[in-house]
Amino acid sequence: MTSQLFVNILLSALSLGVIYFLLSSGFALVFSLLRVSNFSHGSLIMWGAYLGVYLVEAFSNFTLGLVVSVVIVGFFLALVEYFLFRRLYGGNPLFELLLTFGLIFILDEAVKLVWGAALIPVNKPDFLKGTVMIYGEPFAVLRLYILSLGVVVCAGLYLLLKKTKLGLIITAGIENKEMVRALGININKVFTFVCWLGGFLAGLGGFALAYFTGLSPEMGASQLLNVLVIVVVGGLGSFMGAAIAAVIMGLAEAFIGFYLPEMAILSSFIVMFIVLGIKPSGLLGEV
Amino acid sequence: MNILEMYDVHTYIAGFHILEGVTLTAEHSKLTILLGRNGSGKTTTIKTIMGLTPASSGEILFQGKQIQRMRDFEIPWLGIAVVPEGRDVFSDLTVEENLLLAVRKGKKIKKQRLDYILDIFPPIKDLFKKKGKNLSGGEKQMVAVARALVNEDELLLIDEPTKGLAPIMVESMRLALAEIKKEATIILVEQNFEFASSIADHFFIMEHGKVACSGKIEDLVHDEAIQRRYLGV
Amino acid sequence: MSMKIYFQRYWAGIVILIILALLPLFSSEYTKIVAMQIFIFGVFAISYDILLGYTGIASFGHAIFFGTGAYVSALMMIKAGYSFWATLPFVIVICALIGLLIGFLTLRFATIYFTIVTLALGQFCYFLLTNALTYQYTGGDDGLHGIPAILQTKTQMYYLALAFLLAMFFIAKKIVSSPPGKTLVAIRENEFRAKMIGYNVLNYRLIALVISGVMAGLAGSMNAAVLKSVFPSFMGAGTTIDVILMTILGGMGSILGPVIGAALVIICQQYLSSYFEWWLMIFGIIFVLVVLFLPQGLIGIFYRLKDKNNTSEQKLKNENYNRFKNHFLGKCFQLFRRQDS
Repeated sequence: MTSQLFVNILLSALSLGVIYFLLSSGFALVFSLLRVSNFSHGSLIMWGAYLGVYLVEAFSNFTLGLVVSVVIVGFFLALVEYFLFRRLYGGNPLFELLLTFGLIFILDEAVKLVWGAALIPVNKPDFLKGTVMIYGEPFAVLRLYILSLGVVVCAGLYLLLKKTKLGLIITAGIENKEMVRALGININKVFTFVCWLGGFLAGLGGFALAYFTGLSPEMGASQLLNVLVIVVVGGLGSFMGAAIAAVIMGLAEAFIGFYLPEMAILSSFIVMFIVLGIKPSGLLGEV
Repeated sequence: MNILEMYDVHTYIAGFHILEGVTLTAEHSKLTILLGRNGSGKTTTIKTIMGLTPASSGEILFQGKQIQRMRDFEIPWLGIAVVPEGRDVFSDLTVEENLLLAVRKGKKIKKQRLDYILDIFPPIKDLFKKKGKNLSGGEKQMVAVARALVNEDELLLIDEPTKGLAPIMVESMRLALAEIKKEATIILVEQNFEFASSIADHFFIMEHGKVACSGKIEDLVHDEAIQRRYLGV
Repeated sequence: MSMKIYFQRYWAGIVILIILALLPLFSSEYTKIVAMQIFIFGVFAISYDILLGYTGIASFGHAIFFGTGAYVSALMMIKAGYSFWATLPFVIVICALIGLLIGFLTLRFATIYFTIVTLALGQFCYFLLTNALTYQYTGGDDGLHGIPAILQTKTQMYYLALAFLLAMFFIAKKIVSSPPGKTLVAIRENEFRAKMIGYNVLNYRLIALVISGVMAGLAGSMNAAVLKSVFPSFMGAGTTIDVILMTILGGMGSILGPVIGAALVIICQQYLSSYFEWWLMIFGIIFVLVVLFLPQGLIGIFYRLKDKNNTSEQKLKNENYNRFKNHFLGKCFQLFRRQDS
């Protein structure tokens, strides 16, 4: 393999890894604080994709469409937390899981109801078309856009979690909710915010994905699977673990896809079985 | 004058009747101590005052105001701070962040308050940037108490501050509590009777989720029958 | 218990049984097939209930067992000429082994791990079935056809499927009311406490998973025999989703509820889906409402009505029992707290 080809595959792998990070970070965040495994995350990703593409065309403004759609998807999960999850806290976590499972039907069918069941190709805006030369090889601008989006989100999350009081509360709440309450902090509000953020990140991931793969009503289910495999590999409850696992998944898929194309569809499972075989709690998992 | 009064408080945890009618009072600017064997309900009493395990019946009055129906996160705002049994210093946060998280009004710890804390626990100054998980047991205990001092709360609930500490740390904790006592009312849960009797004013002995006896600490020190019966000294 | 009391208590069940026994005499072939599907999925849902309702762990890949059972039976009958009955021991052993493997890998951790891994594993198995590499054995997307009939007529098959449901129903009832079954419920209610009392939580969950897996595998085999074909969708997410819907809507933790749920879901699929294009969304809304407000499922309504007719004597008994339980367990709890510190 020439070094140019290697670099090209590596960059593709990284942009894939970044998409996976965007897709799974919201799930990991919500799980680590609320201990709710949000199975409707895949459907939120799909909503982010459909709504984003639709609004970009409706406003004929890329940035505005992006922002409005991800904010709406965020609000959806925040409302779900406020009106539905809250009824179930303190009970058997099984019911939270089943509730989010039930939401899948509603969200997925709603997508079909609004946009139909057919695949929809997505037109890239002009500035995402074309390629740039990196290391003497052409590289799609779209992939660069996704890479930079990932860097921005990563930095934003880092600043939020490490540099703000809200971030301190989230970090503290992941460890010990009772003590946070005993300090006079209404952690329920933080739960709602984190759900908003989780929906926001899902929507963002879906939006990025849409320009990559187009729109399909099946994408919710398939992305849910991807997300779950990633968070299990990373270790449930570990935000960092999910980020690392996302990049590993991207690498595995790109390289396995290059050498053994027929195995590409199974690549994430292969990684999962290897990791769980060696460390059953996942890379950085503690549960 | 009593800062805190509890009348016939019952608390259930996961269907288990833990407090079976607790009645106690804490006098203003005194140190009241809760004694009793393990499982007698001392920690639950603290948690019930804080609203973490809400009382199912009975009354809890703080400065004459009923608080037993308030939400857990509202109670600290009245001016009550707690140092829980497990210390519960957040391990992923630095000591500074742990203290900062406790600040209720404003964004920073007030200068004069920080000086007061460092005056009581001088070693904390060098621990500021250390993460909670890298602290020793004694350091964690200091941070946990310091965290309760960040706001000028009138009532401090401190649960077993000497648990698992080396004798020298126990002694410095005693000095610290004696200092804190000058400015705030303290309710202390303690197993170490010697430690307790050296700083307390009043005592309540709990057994099976109820107060079995109470009085002035001087009386208890001289009453070996009660000590034997309830404390196994 | 005398016949009369027995009849008084279970009259509804007996009437339904009589109707079911007479049904083939005056129904169409299509109705028979739908009824057989209900019986088979009833067993599948019962197996799921043992896991979800009684053990409190949610498998999102339960179709693995169903599909394995179906494919093992089909392959052995078509490719190796085994009789249907001879394949069943293999189905039992293979499903038990799969259950043990998954359980050992995941049940040591928080049960959500199990849920996610089973979901991924289910998809993995589905890909395996439809992969080009396995096409010559599994028939890929087309499935396998031409499984020899095990009984001559549809009516005979109907009675076999009904007998299968009844047998599995009573076996499941026996299991959940046995002492180990009660222990499962105790673990579900309070894992921590069960551990403190000294139960090996992992072992109990493993056993439940194996029993549930074997039962699901047998249901899969029976489905292969009834349809005389197998399809990869047996292993697919859709089958798992169906069984979850059946169990939750019918009422988990009751064994009977999931059977009713199976009837409901299959009848809706067969008869409503052509009228209501958005029936899945309606199901989703009902599902969410049931989870929020009716955790015991539709059968919970029935039990609640029945409870109202309870004699006051029984109520008193319950109250005394609760008081005793509260007192006794409360003391246990204090004991643990003592050991804790």
